[in-house]
Amino acid sequence: MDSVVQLQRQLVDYTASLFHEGFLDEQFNQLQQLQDESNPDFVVEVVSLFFEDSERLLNELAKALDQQSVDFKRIDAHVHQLKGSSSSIGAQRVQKVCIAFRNYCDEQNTEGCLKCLQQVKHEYSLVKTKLETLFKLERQVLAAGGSIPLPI
Amino acid sequence: MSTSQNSTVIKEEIFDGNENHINNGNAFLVLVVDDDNVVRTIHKMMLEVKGMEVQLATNGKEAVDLHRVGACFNLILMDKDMPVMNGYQATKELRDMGVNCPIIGVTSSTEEAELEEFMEAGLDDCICKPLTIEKIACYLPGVASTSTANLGDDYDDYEEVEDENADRASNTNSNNTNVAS
Repeated sequence: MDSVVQLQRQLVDYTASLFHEGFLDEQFNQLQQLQDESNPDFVVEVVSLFFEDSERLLNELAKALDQQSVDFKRIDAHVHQLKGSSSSIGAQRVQKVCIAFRNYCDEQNTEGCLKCLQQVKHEYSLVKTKLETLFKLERQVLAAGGSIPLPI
Repeated sequence: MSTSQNSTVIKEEIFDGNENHINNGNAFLVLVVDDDNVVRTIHKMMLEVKGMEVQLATNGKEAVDLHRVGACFNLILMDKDMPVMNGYQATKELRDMGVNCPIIGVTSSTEEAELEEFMEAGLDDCICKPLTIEKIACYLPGVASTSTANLGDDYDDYEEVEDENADRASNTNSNNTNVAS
């Protein structure tokens, strides 16, 4: 029982750190509140969709910025989509970079866009690692016979 | 086939071309129109946990096509930027077809000029992503907004939506056609 409590505490502290460091915002709480016994894997499923879509979009962005003639409208459309999906799962830092990215698209600033692409890849990679760690902790709690503490 | 007193719900069961059930005539039916898979999934779950029945469309053309085969909804959540047919075009087309239910624009855009332009297509409201139930509570039956708590009967919200739809229907010539299943 002690180990379950310890794992649960670790999970709560880790989750709190993700919010405190700005990786996640309130929208992630909203997702967690949608999860229940009838949809026990909802958050993992949605976040997995986010990972798939984001990786596809990041590849498209890299290709688009590698072209001789850069299509800023197309790049903006991809960033807009990434901004929308990142905000919907609460990936706050990814969303913020997307806002800056779109400004560079408006200015048709290739260098700025390239810089933002690196930043958004970096933030995406960070949040992906953090969320995978979070889900791993959740699995450990469940495997130890505990339950996932509900978000406040 | 008969339409109910509810001007926006058809009691007859209707199927789309893929045998997907479109409308069972009893539930509050919401059409979520968004090209983003993550967003569609989240919005669908948000509405279903509140007891709504949800149909999905991946772009404006799909939304319009659903209405052309006779589907009716109590509420439409319309993304703005979509391929094939965007939210502005779809909303305009739906209103031109005589679709009277509330259509709420849901967009990542925060530019006031863009939001105003989107509203001009015929939206009842326009909200910024991320969507929360709070933001659309007044359009959903039995869902009280905690920011403007309704202390009255939960049914009041639905009745208000119904009254609004009836008013709109009496002021607009509807050319919806019902298609036998």
